Amino acid sequence: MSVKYEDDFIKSKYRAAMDRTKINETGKNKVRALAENRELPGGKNNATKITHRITKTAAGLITFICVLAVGGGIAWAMTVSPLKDYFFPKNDRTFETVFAEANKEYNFGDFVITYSGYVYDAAVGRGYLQFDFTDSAGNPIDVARLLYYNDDINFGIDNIVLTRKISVHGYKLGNTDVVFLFMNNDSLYTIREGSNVLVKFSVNNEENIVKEPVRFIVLNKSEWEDVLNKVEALDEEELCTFSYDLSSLTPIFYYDRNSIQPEVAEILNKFNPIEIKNTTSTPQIIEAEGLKVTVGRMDILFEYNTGTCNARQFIIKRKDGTELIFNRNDDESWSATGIDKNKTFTSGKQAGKMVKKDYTMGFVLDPDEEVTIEIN
Amino acid sequence: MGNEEYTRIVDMYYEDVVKVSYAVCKDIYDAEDIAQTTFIKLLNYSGDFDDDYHIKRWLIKVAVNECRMLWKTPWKTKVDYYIPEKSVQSKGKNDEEQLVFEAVMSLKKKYREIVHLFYYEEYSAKEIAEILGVNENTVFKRLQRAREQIKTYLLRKNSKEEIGESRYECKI
Repeated sequence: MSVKYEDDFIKSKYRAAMDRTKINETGKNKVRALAENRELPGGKNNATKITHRITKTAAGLITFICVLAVGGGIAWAMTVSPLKDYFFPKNDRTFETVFAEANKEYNFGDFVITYSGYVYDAAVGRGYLQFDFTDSAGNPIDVARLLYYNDDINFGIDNIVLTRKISVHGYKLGNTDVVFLFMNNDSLYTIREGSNVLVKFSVNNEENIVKEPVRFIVLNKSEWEDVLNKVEALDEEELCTFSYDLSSLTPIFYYDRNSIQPEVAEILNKFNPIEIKNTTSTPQIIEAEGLKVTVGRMDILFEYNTGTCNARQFIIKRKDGTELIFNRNDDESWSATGIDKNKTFTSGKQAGKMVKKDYTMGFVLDPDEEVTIEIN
Repeated sequence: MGNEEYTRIVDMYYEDVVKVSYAVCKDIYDAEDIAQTTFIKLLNYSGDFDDDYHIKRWLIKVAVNECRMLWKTPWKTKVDYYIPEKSVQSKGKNDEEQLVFEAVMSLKKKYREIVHLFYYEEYSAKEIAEILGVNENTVFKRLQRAREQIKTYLLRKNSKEEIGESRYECKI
């Protein structure tokens, strides 16, 4: 196929279209007026030119002085002024310490951490690591933002015992690599990968816990709030598997008992707030059909001998009508239903042996709340 | 150059400078800015001109160069758009003109400047080569390609809108 067209057609149409383009008269007048304002050599215009140069020089000088003043001010603020700590926080406020020795005070200048080591709580039948925070005068202080982890990623914070004391239960978390902890005057909240609480740390291995290097890292406020923002975006399901890359955070000590914002507290309230007081409420125990069930405020322990236990199920009934049902499977695994989601315990298949199982996921009773335990 | 002489030149060639800038830039507002810059350069130019024809050619050359400078700016290297001047957008009896104008504006910049200089300013290939600083053969080549692309554009539009059929003759 070949095509022929008239060259003149394009020319005439293009010219006509371009001729219809309206040119702004204002622009033309401005260009025309350029000649009136230009500097011509000689005559009085030279004076204008010189004045203009002087003006330009003066303006340049003033600009230079201003830049110098502003730059100097910033340099002064960052190095000499009382605000310098804002720009360059003192190194002694950044710390990363290994707590390896029990019953020892770790002094950080404006605050002291006393590591009490592993404390066994006979009331709940297990132990925890305890840290007390005081100021330099020995007065207890609250820790606003605290992040806890250790090198081997073996521990997570499970719950808290006392105000102004951080107590770490010896729970081994599955794939949990970081646990966030948040504390104010009244409450402390944890955000954790709760579904991965697998094995209760044996109280007989107390020495191992004490020797375990433990680090505290307190995050700066903005980074912490950044983490909270991320948490806020999660739904409950996602929260169960939420983890955070600790290496991306800058460990700067920060605490301020009054700095907890209501909106932050509101976010955290969604995640099983744990009141600190009355956390050592008396466990409720029932034994029947060869099965002993101990219900603490935040955990459930059940013990039985596979050879003599006839129980196939136990149910914990709360006053609000909710139930937590544990079913014993033929392979000696247990399935829990009724709280966050169905959960199957796959460990502990020791036929003919004493079996102790612990369950904590999502289980938090109100202080001194009584429950009904039914064994079938 | 005296004020009167300058004003005379502005009156004579301002529109030509704006139009060539518009053809290259595709933006009437950029074109006006470029025209202003071009005439400022004329004011500061200390050389001599042989005649008005020489002045016009010099102005167009400066304007085209200014357009090229504008197209090297980061914004223009990333954004290509065509802002039609309102009077060119009118429909009705001017549909053919509008189509041809759009066809030219759809060309690449290097083709648009040649089309404008050739069709509107009616410069010869030799003069265009001198203004644009390219080889004369390059001008012919670009002109040829520009025509082909305009033709393709018009035929495509023609088949869609069924206008100006009498102007095109197709042999299969």
